[in-house]
Amino acid sequence: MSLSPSTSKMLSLKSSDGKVLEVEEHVAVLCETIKSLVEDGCADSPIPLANVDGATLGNVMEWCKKHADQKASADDLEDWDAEFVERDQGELYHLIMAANYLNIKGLLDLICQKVADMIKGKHPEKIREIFNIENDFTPEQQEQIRKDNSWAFE
Amino acid sequence: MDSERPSQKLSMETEDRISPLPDSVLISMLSFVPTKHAVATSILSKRWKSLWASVAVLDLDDSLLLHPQEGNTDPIGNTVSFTNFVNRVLIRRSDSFIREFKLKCRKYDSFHVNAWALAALRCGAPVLNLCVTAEQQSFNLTTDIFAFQQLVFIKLCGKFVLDVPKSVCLPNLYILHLDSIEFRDDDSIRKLCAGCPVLEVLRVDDCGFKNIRVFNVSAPALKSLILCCSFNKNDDYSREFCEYEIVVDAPALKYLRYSDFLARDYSLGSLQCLLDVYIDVNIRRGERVDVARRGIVLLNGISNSKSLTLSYLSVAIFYLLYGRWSNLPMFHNLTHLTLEVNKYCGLLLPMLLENSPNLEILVLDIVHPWRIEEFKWNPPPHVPECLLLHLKEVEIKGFILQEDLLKLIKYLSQNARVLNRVSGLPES
Repeated sequence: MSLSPSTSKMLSLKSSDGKVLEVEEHVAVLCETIKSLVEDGCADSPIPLANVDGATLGNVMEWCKKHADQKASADDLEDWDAEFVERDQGELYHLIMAANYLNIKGLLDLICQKVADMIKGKHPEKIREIFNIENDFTPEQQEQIRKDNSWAFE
Repeated sequence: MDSERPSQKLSMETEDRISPLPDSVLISMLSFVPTKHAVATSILSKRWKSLWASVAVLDLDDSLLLHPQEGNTDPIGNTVSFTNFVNRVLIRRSDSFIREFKLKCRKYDSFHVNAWALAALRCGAPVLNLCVTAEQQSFNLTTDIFAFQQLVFIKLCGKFVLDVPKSVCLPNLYILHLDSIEFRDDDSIRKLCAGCPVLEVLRVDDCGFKNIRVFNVSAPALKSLILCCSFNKNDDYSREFCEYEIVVDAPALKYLRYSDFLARDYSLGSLQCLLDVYIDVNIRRGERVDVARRGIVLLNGISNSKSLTLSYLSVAIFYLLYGRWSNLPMFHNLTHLTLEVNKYCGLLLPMLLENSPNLEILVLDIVHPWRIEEFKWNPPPHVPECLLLHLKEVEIKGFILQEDLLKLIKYLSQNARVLNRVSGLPES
């Protein structure tokens, strides 16, 4: 590993399935959750991340590494991000849960935007189909919702 | 990596992955879609029914239709329907915090638009983005918006006259963007600036200046000023254009982007921190009197910049002004110069090289390749200082084989002693 801009100190992160990942501290602290552990001096032993599996943690740290790179230009990052979120829903789900748990606003916003783009402008029936959402309303309840906000359904 | 979760690929086709996400995540997702589409998710399932009401970003656009292919058959009905919708959304959210309020609409009267904007501001909205499209001569934006101190961002767009109250109090306003609005008088922009002590970005696009004699920007924290009018010698802007004077007192200004007819006069204070300037100026049809002096005052004002770009038109204007009547100012700090190439470019360039002793990077941008035949290069009588000591890099954007352009490149390669990179040329 080359010398990082601030420090080359390594942190160990332990995933829910017992995998240990060595990550440079300046990369890992993009996760607010880890940052506060480091600031409180609780980051010596492998940090247990009970809600993130090893594969997802690898993906999250790949994102953090790219975004910790001072040399990356905004355009470069945008292109890289667009490619990063080209994943199936299962992976996106795990990433979004991890980003939420680790409190990485940039990554959370990125995936929220991606999912929002899948929702935007689509007919409700189509959205249900894309995400396998079960419609648990009665026809009467549906009718009432349509009436309450009629313009939203025009 | 996928092999570590064998069940995932099988289940993804049938499992609802999105509904189990925490409320906060779903709400954050919905903040990225227009409010119309967010509200429409209420019908997906009981889980989704009320989520939209917690979204702190309101993005209301009356031109959105969920089924555009079915056509907009009832415009008046739609107007009523949109009005009811916005009213309901605001009522439903009651007093909860609004982070961003964005409204884009056509044919709505001031009464509704003002009521909606004020409702959002009373809910603490720090970001206000209002766009009233189409001709709206009778539209009156309430001046009350200039009293909401939480505002950090304002964008106002629409062909209406902007009234500014005597006293503006926006101590947190960081970005002000005015697009297409008409200024009432000289005081409008002056009062706005006076009321925004931390304003860093002022952007004025295609606004109406016919009531303005002096455009006075006095802003101690201003870093970025964009003043752009899409001029065209034959349009209304040109006909209505009343030459005004531009006064800028912004000692912290770093970025200036200016696109307009040459103003009557410039008073650019002391712009010591300028990093990057883009100039795109033109003169009006038949305009002769005094333009040379005006162009000189403008260039003198920005001569401290580290980086300068002159547009296709500006290159011609400045060559015609300076080539005939005057000397260019010295650009002592200039390290990066970009010229959009036209037929005068090769004639202006020797003067610019002569007066930019510290120039390191020169970019020639061939924006109109079909005009390149007119390009002429006349080498200066002696080699300018920047070529002897500093010029490291030359870039030709959109290279086209042309005799004088090749002569110029050859001249630079032979005379620039520390030149180590010429990019944009074909391999051979």
